[in-house]
Amino acid sequence: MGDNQETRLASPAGGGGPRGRRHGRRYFRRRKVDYFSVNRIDLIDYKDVDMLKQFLGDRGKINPRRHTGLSSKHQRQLRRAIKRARNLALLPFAGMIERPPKPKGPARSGRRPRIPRGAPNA
Amino acid sequence: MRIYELGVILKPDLPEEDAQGSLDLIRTVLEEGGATVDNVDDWGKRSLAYRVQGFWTGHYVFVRYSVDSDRGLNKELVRRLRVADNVIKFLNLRMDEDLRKLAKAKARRAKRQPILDAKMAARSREISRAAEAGQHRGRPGRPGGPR
Repeated sequence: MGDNQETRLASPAGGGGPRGRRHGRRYFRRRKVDYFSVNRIDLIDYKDVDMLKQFLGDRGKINPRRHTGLSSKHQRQLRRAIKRARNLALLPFAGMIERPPKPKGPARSGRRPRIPRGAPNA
Repeated sequence: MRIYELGVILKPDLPEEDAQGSLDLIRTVLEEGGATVDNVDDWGKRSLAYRVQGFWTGHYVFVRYSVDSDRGLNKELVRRLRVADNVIKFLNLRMDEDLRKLAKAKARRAKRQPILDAKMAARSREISRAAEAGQHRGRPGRPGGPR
């Protein structure tokens, strides 16, 4: 499977349109692969937060298929898993950016470094 | 046989025995309803992705249980969780169909693997034979299969 990709990368004929032309110079777009097929993941687990995170944009939105390169089936399963994880506060809902907890309040357990508002994640 | 997975977030500031008490309550509800608890996965305290009832952290516990016939067990469980003060959020999911699909996919993979291995072996034999004969037709190492 691995060397197959390389041959496809090397041959300009491969794929539906991995070539492009910008500023007069040819460039090759990296061929997208389906993460779940490559890694042979048969069930997308909503508890695997770090794995799911890579399919979210920095605003917590689910990346589109043209971005993730997933098959339709896997994107559908991924969407499901992410929505489940959001329900259990494992992942943020779109638009809800992580804010530091107020210094006072009922939640006193975890101390987090303060992030100035609006500075990161922009 | 139905398999469920219950994810519970407990308040993070509970004393140890209260947290354990909440879990024991869940366990008794399940067992009285005829379910067997298969696995309890305690993640401990973890930060939440957003604020829930004023908390930024929560104590995550996942309970896997199986039951032959529901008979209102889940209804009762959900009702009890809703009124439990120590539970700030929960998610109860039926897993058996997903698990069945997973097992099926695993079996398919296991069945296909020897065929794939045999194909690979045949291909490499062919390539080495062609190399010995000194006639390369096409590039070596070029896979012929789909994908």
